[in-house]
Amino acid sequence: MRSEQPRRPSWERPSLFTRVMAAAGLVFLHAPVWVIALYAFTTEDRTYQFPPPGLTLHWFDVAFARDDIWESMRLSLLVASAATLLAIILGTLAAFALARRNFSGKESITLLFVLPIALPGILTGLALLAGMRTIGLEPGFWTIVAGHATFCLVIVYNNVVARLRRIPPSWVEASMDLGARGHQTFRYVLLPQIATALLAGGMLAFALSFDEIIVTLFTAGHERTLPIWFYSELFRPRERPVTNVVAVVVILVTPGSDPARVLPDAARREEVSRESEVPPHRMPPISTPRNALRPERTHADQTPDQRQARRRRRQGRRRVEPGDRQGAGPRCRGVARPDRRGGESG
Amino acid sequence: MPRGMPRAEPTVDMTPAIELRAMRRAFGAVVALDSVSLAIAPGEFFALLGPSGSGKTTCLRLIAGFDQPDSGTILLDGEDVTNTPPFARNVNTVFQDYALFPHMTVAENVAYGLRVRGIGAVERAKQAAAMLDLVRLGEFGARRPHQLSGGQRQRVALARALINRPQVLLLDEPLGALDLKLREEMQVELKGLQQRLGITFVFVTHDQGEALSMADRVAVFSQGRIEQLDTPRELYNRPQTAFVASFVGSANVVERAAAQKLTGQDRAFAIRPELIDLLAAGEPAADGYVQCAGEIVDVLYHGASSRLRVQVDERTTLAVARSESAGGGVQGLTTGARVRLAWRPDHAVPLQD
Repeated sequence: MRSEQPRRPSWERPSLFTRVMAAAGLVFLHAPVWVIALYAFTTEDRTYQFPPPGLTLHWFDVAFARDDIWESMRLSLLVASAATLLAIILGTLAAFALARRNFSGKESITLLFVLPIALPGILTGLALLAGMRTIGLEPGFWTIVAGHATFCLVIVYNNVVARLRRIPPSWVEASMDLGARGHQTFRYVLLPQIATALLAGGMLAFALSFDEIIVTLFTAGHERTLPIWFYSELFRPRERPVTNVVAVVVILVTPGSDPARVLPDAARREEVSRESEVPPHRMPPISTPRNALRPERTHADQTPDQRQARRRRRQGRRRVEPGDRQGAGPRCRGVARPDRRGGESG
Repeated sequence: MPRGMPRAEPTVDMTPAIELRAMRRAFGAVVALDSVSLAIAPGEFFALLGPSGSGKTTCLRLIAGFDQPDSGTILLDGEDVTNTPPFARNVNTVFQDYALFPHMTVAENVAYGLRVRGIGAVERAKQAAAMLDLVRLGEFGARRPHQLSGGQRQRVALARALINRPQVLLLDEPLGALDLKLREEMQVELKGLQQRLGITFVFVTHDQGEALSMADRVAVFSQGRIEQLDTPRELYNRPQTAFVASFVGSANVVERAAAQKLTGQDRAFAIRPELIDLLAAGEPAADGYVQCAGEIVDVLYHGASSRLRVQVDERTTLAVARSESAGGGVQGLTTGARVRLAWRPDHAVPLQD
């Protein structure tokens, strides 16, 4: 079957060294995930001895019986949904305002919009907490949502603004010319064009909110989202494998939300054909800072790229505690990646 | 006569389909349109001709309503629409890039104007199919725009713009993106369509050949002003300014100083290369012809005709066209040879300064 494909010239084929390094990289990224999964089944609940003395499904029973997990899961999902919805509405509005019009101060406003993603979470959290104190706001569900929306908004904004800039102005003019009012032009012409950008941006925003811990710590008050639950579980050595069970469940759910899979094939095809149709000069360079955070390419590779960039930046500031490695909040998102890959090839 | 004023008003005594009064539009320091006035008669095929940056597209966009004039008035069918948004004007546009919606089928694109007016799906489909038949794309309704060729997309854009039965159809460089052969076909097709539908067509072009062959009247734009507004024949035969003379077809523009020497009249003039006779050695010029002598600078063979340039004084070189078929070949004429030229005085068109 190999012979059916034209043989590539030797300089295009990866060398043995490249292959080995690629494999090593994958192992390095994914091995911790398998360790987390493995210790969800261990019979020993205090230390991490390798190999585990025995395997059991007992911890799944324990985990499913614990209300605090369900509550935290529910809260995290609600917060992420609300923050995503808010981000989609506000981010889209902001993108429409800033994509086309030129007005004085536009650059500054653009910078203000993307700044939250560049700020360390701890600063955002502190600032929000101080702000809430000043106006006497009680921390709770909506303050978490507001905190998360600060950076979710940027994700949606970036996706939508990049897409809008590729839409030729003549499409909007053609729509108006044919008799469409503003809302009709939005509904029939612009929304279908930005739909995939909204989907991708919304999913990424959801994922970021779902695992956010630093901003949440400052804005949550007594509420416990799933990452905070993970974090507090680290200090309860009794049922340590339960955290691994929850991590495994989250990992298993994640591949289903991969935008590359969710997007219908037709939408992706259309996107490809449109990209080839739009002449290069119609795609202005992205002028706002943090270019690396907003590549508008195929959604399949966009998500992990952006996640990684953000994770690296934010985690770089946090000391990783020795006992931390089994599944503190921000980790469990990273572990979603191998699973998706495995799912596609296997 | 002041520049920029239409010379030939529409002869029919009725309300113009479009009337622009003293339109001005500036973008920053650049004046795109400077006090432009014109009137277009109903059913007319009208061309806005000019080089890029001359204001012709700005003019079209103001008529469509995509842009607002700084001052001046736009009337459609006698009604002031200066502040009317594009969706409320009974005018439709064929865009240079066609602006077809890629997420809709061809039929959906064509039916779009009906959809936003709340017309039911059955009626929409019926009218869209009829419109696609009109532009000979009956079988292509289910395709997507990117599955069509450039010429087909052009016709879809045409069908989409016509489905609302506009009073006026605006076409922005409609043939610019097509190759030569297709362009010639579409010229014929557009002209036929316009005559069948009786709709006023206003089209923008930088191609003088296109303007001459299709339009009933042409407004020649230069630097935000109308240089001349005339029928193609008048424009070609009676250009009023040096710009029009050299932009519409090719012409020898003889400046005032040189003209005085050649003709004795103190006025710049233009003469078409094909109207200059080349006299054989010893051949007398016909009665009353203007005569001069010069040296051949170069000779270019173009197939059906040849063109030579003759230097008649230090600053003036005249192009002379010779038809190969009419026995007026350029054999024996070489660079450096001395020749005599002659033309009928009334073929030299006096120009405004």
